[in-house]
This record gives sequence, structure tokens and C-alpha cells, in this order.
Amino acid sequence: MRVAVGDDAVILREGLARLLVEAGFEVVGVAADADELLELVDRSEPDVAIVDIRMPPTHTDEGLRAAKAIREAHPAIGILVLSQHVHARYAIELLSSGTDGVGYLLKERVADLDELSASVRRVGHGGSVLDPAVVSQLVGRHRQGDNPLEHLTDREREVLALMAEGRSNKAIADRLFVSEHTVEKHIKNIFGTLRLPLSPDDHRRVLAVITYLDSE
Amino acid sequence: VPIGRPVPIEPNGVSGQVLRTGQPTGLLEVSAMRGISGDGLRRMNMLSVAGSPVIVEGRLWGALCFAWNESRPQLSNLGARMTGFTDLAATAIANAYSRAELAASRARLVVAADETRRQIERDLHDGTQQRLVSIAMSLGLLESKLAPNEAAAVPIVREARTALTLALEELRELTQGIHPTLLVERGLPVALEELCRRAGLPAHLTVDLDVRLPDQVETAAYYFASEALSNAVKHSHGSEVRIEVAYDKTTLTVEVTDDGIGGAAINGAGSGSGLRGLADRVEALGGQFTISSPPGRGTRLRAEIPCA
Repeated sequence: MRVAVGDDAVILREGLARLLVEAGFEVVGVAADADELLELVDRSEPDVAIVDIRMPPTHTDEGLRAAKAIREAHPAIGILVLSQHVHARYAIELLSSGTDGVGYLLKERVADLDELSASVRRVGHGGSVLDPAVVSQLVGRHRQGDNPLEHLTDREREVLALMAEGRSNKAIADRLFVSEHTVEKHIKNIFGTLRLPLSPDDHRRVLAVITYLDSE
Repeated sequence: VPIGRPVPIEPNGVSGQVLRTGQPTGLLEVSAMRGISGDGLRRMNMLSVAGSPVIVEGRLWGALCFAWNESRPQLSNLGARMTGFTDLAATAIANAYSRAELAASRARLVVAADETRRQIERDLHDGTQQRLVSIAMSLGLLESKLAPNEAAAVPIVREARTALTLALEELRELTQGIHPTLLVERGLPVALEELCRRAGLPAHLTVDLDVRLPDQVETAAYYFASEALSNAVKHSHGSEVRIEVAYDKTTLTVEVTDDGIGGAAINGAGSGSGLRGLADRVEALGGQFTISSPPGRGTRLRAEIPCA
């Protein structure tokens, strides 16, 4: 699998490149900022781009914006965003335009070679990766101590699985031979059971899907 | 004379003399005065006039002019009365000045402290955190390169990596406490949302705010909510917390309410110093801090911060 790396800190991008090579990936190049990374991706069409979220010029969320740009230009390229902070919000923003082939990981996770390879492969094959620290923040399971998914009915779980595939309410209704209204009711119950009080709905939809993906 | 009407300082007028000499003028005849201020006094039928310097913090600040509609006012101790009144005015002016100066300097301290925190976060992120991550990477690499006959070294390398992960976690907590990057990048509602997710108690957030406010207002509101929330988690023995944020174009109001044991006091023991700090931060921006914490009936902390 071919990988591009974008990180403004030279010790980290070189370190990451070394680890990737060690794990058997081909590193097509490294970039020091978002523009360089986009150019690199355009030129070498890797399977996966790994990008630091905080890069020049503003050192805020350039990585997210780069991820979005790559996504639009090359929908088939997997994107793994690395961060030094657990910002659930950024994970949601990243995943809200589709969970296929995207991931959000804390930076130090890449030091575990097995975890690094598994994550890169998963994203490269169109799967999604979400750091456990982000998930526990989103789901609040560290507090409640149980898995809220277990409280869903079989039908609700079915609806949630279809939501995770990115299907609309209409598509879910067609698939399950029920009315759209019934689907909406199921979704409302899912939000309630998963204790997702935050609106708006599309935001909760992403959270529900994230919860589901994490449990897989 | 209408309030706010400017009167020119003429070299031989009353205020001009005070300005030149720094001394009381003594009684002057209006009839002998030329210029605009003389004409003005005559129009008001004033016959005599005197000026007295207003000295604020050792510097000549201005002059008070007294005028009479008789040429020899029949008052005893005229000089002493004038100086007494002038000193009173000077004291009031000095007080107003130092209050304004104090408010400005408190606000500057808060802004400077916030800027320092931002810088520390940035330094930790670009320096220490990156170095630690880089060490973790080297250890990961080392682990993969260990030959099969060095298997005994594997647990030691893993141990070191685990310790590093913990150090990074602690550092992460610390840096976010020092300066919440999300606040700057995404604004108050998002930062508070994230704060609630991390809270040790179920926290319900209601935000009625759809604009960005000045940095120092957002920062004050955030730290207020953050500190109030952590107080509730640590001291309230409650089961949940409610954070409400409202904005009416002039004032941002943040209210943090728990359902705990109450009895918190701003200068009390225990959580007291934290509350004092909250009040200081809010008041430094000209805001108001109120606390309502009847024993057994929860605690409500409220900050109203002016945004104009």
C-alpha cells in the first residue's frame, strides 16, 4: 500500500515515514504543510494520506481542510488525520461527510506498529478508524460503564447499521419495507437510547453511527 | 452655564492665571477682564471671580472658577472655603482616575495572562509533546527491530511506551486546561460542548449564541463555565449540571447550576478560592458575578459579561 505523509514537524514526519516503511508500506513522499501534501497527493495518487491536523499557516485545523480537499479531488484515497488532542468535534466534522476511508487518531498511537498498520490498512480499504479516546468522549461510556447499544431493539440496530452505510431515511424505509415515518420513529428512539441529546439531527446521526462503528 | 460648554483658557483669564502660576488667583474684578470669559461673566451679571487650582496626584489637573454677583462677597474664610471645596473635587477626581486605572489594569492582566497561556500551550505542543511522540515512535521502531533472542527486552520497551502514553495523556489534559485551542478555533458553543463531554458529571448545555464575541469575553465565559463545572463535579455531590449561555447583544450571561448540597460561599473554605478567582476574572471585564447556594438546594453561579 502506498502512503503520503503530511506533518510540519520534521521529526514526526520522518519518524512516521520510517515506521511506515518498517511496517511494509511504501511511502510516496512527505509534506510539510497542507499545500505540499495536496500537490504530493495529486502527483503520486497514494492509497492513503496521513495528515497532521495542525499545520502552518494558522496551526489550527489545516489538516481537516486538507482532508476535505483530498476527499473531493480523490474520493478513493483513504485519509488518516492525526492529532495531539482529543477533539471529538473535529472527528465529527471529519466523519460527517461520510465515514468511508477516513480516520482520526491520536498521534502517539502510531508508535504502536501493529496499530499503525491496522489503521492505515483499514482506511486504505475504505473502512473508518476512530481513536478510542474520542469514542469514549462521544459515547460517555467511561462514565456510564455499559454499552448503550445493548439497549437497542433488533429493529433499531438494523436501522442503525443501515444509517452507518450512509443510507437516507427513505432508502432505509425501502430496504426494510416500512414507511419513512416508522424509520424516523426508530431513529428517534436510537438517539434517546444512545443518550445523544445534542441537536441538530445530522450531528446526532453521525454520533449514532460512530457509536455503532466503534462497537463493531 | 450649560454643562459641557467649553470655555477657552485665556492667558489673562482666571483659568489661564491658575495654569500659569499653579496658585489661587485671589479675588478679581470682572469689569477689568477682557476676552470671551470676561464677556461671558458680565452677561451673567457676575462682578467678581476667583480661581483655585485642582491638584490631582501632585499635578495641576485643572482649575475651579468661582464667581459672585457682588464685587466683595460677604463670606468669612473665603480662601479656605475655596481651597476646601477644590481639594474635595481633586480627591473625587483622583478616585475616579484610580478606579478607571485599576479596571484597565485588571483587564490588561487578564489579557496578558491569557496570551501567556496561549503561548505556553503552543510551546508545549510544538516542543515537549512532539518530542515525546517522537520518542514513542523510536521505541515502536526499536520494538520491531528486536531480534527473537532479545525477547526479554520487549516487555521493557512496551513498559516505556506505556509510560510515555500516560505522560502524553497528562500533558494533553494539562495543555487543554491551560489554553483550550478549540475555543479559539471554533468558538464558545463548540468549546463548551466539548467541555461537557469531558465532564465527570452529566452536563446539559443550552447555548443561545450564534456570533463570535471578543476574545477576552469568550475566554472569560469559557473559564467561568469550566471552573464552575469542575467545582460542581468536585464539591457539589450533585447528580447533574446545567450550563446555560445567553446573549442579548450587550451582555453575555453564563449560568452554571447543579443539584448538589449547596452551601458554597465566595470567600468560604474549600472551593472558596476557586470562586474568588471566577469572580475576579468576570469583574475584571466589568462583569457581574453572582452566587446562589442555599444549603441542600444546589448551587447556581452566574456571570454577566458586557460585550460592548
